[in-house]
Amino acid sequence: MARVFFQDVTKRFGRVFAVRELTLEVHDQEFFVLLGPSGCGKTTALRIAAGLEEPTDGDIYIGDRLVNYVAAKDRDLAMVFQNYALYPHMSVHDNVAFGLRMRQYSRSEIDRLVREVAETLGIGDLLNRKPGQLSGGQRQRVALGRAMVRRPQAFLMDEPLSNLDAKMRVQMRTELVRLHRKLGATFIYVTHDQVEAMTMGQRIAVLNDGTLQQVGPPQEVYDRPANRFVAEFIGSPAMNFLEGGVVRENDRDGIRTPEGFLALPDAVSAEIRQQGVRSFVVGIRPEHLTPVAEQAAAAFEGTADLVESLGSEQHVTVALKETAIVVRLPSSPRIERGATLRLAVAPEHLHLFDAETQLRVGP
Amino acid sequence: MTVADQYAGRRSWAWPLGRFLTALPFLLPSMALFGAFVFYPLGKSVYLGFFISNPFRTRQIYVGFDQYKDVLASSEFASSLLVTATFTLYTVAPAIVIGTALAVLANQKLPGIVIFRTIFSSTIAASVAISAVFWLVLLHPSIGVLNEAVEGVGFSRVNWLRDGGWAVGDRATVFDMVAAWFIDPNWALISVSLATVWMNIGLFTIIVLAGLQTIPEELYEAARVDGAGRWAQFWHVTLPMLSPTLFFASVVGMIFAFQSFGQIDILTQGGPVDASNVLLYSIYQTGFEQPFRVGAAAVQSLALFVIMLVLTLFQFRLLAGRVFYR
Amino acid sequence: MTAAQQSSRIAGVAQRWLRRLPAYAVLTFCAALLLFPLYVTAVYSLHPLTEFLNEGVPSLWPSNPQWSNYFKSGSGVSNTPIGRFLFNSVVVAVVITAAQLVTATLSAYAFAFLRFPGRNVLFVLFLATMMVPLEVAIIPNFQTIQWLDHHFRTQAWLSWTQITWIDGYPGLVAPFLATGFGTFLLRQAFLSIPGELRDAAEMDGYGHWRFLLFVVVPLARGALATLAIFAFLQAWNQYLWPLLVTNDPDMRTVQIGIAAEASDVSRINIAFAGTITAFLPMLLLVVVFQRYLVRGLFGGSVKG
Repeated sequence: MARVFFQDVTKRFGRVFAVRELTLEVHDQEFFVLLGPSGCGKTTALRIAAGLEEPTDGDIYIGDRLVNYVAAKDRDLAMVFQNYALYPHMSVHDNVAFGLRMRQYSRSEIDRLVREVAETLGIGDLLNRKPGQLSGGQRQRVALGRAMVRRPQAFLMDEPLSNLDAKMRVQMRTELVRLHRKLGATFIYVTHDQVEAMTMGQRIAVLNDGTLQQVGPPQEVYDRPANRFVAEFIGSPAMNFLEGGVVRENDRDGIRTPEGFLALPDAVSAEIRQQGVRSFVVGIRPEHLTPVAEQAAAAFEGTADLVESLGSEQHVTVALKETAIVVRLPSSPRIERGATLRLAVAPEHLHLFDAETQLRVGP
Repeated sequence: MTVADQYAGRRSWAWPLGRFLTALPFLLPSMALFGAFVFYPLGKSVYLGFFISNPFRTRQIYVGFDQYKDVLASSEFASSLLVTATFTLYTVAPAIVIGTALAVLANQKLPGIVIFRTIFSSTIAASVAISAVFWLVLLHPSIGVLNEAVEGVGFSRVNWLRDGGWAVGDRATVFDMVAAWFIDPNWALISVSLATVWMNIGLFTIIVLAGLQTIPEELYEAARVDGAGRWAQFWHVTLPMLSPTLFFASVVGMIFAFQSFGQIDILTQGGPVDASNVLLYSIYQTGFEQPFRVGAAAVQSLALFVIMLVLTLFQFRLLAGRVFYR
Repeated sequence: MTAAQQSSRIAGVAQRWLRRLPAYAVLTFCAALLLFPLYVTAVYSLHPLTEFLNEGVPSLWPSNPQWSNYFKSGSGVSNTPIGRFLFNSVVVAVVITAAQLVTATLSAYAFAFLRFPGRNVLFVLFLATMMVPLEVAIIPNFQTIQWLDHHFRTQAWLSWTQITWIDGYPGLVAPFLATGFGTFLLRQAFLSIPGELRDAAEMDGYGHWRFLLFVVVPLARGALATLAIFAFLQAWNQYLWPLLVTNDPDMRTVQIGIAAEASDVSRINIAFAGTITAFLPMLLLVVVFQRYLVRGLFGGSVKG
């Protein structure tokens, strides 16, 4: 069993809280992603799990064992570092074998294990090279190999793909997922890249300012962000936000924003009224805004200010009365700059946040 | 799980004391040596300054700050400072000018230039004793060839090592010496300076060559585009870009000058009279020659310390700039 | 290629060299001037003694080279061969260099990789030692060595060690075994080693000592070489300290030995031969390790 459990873990550097009362359970054999902007505490959390950093407060369990006072080497974890942490003066073979040499393996056994791992990762013919002679992707594999060779219960990965070029990153993403399936070990993966988190994680935890914002499967986090921060952080282009209050207009409950009226389903409005929230922030994902014909009811009307064509789709910044919103549209018909757009949004696609607490209130 | 189990694996650096104990074996050798040979001597020097000891060091007489006052106010100390300052001027400026010139010459792109670079920087291999002997050969009263050259170009022979110029004779005060500074050359000090300059040329050539490497080639290209010739390039690109390096070199040179001892001991023994008696040599003579005025020598060395401290702090600022802005 | 083309090519090459000629002339002139003291001493070292007793300046050409001058070094004062001086200097310089490498590596490691209370204060103290040149501390240091010498001679529990401080290697090297400069230089180099490597090694179960030995030292070879050449040069060039702590000619370092010999006019040519003998190995060393020297001068900030 290699679940990793953070219980009320706090890490303070002087007066700065890097991690604040983090409680989090990573299941056995799970691919778990810690996601957040730089400086959010995700790396610190990972280092605490690794034993490289001591928590100021709280407990860490691996399996059912309290490991607060267990040295890093005795936690049966392996770590893959952002810059690979390969020893530049050692060959690939020695880099991979380095961890085994401390563990009383015989020379032939070390050799066999290194070779086995190297074959799995397709670096078998690089064993005599030095890290300096390898490409970024190859170095990445060596770093993985070094972690794998010890057959740890859990892998801790700190932004391992951030130094690769875009194409290599995509390739390594699928390889990591495959590797995870094959090894059947727990993966804790730290990244600031939401695409990596969405594509690889079985569950993701979003952190900000050292505080846990939300934990859940990627799609759930995307569909029902727990607060405005998560809503804004996940999704590209980012979610549009408008402020407004609940009103009843033309016999329909809805939210009046400076830009237009957004109708709400009765169930939602009833729930909101019950919660007694007065002012809201409404979030709308760019892909949920759809252009409508002139006769139809539209929430917003504005002119296309900036059109970014990505080939498969286009991102249109529409200038409204006071603000601008981004709309994600299919690449045809092509929108010209200056064109007038009337946009509608389905009520179920609205995300409502309390303007004060920033927490999700509905739907 | 018992509490004992929990704490069994606690790592030592969890405790500040534990972390200090981890670091101690790494630091102890240096700390012990610095304590014994750097910090203790500093304190001991201050202490020694309070005492006058008799020649046989059988008795020490406490005199408080009197010795500090006497030594620092003495005309010997003032003349020693003047000699040291002059020596610094004589050694640093020429060595830097020559070193810069040689470095610029050796920075040309020519086949075989490496040979010249090596030759120009080779004098760094000469120790004080070796360069002093080399110059003894040139300046010696009977076998020295430099006087032949001097005569050859129409000047009269110079009594290199034995003519103290402004520093000797009936000039009783430092002011008299300063007055004679320009008109009566102190050849003994110049001799010592010649050996020192020669020795330091290699060092300064190396420093300036390294400085030249850091000047981006584009600057010269831009200057050429603007129509600058070789001299204009030197004055408007090389020299300004080199100024931090030259500054650094001059501070290094000054520190070297204050530490000079061997060449003086070999060439002039501080003489004639005190014409080449720089501060460090004076410390040696005061403390280690009859009548072994250890306390007075300690006071002088503290004065030297203060001077060098100021210079080194200055050098640190420069060095810090180099290290951190890069 | 036609004959005309070929001759114009040759003319081009010739022209290029012709244009370079003034530059080479200036370079050669400067080199000759700089090497003149070395040349004269080298020539004098080959003269028979009679050349110096004649009226006037000895010849600037070795018309009657006495190579034997180089093999009978040993002055009238001491009858100690130059080889003995060289040997003493090598022992002193090697011991100082090795010790500085060890002490500076250890302390630099602590300052670069360890977190402990008082680290900044200690580091400032280490840097402060660079501001106290050993010349300033010679009087108390000499007294310390005298004191040690006295006790090692008179106290039974120490005298069995047979350690002599005055006129002995321990006294010659003792004040120079630790180095603030070296600590600073190596710390800079160690700081450029990514902290990730330390983390990775810690995960693999390598403690500080093993990490230092297997990772840090191999990675900082350049900086260690820089420190080594500096330490060696400085130790080799020591003059004042060896002068103070040695009286026995057998324990003199080469600098003091040369100085003593040069003062003996009756064997001056042999003294010059000794000077040249002492100079050449250092020349070789400096030429070979020049790039490390440059790096050290700039506190490790120039990539050599």
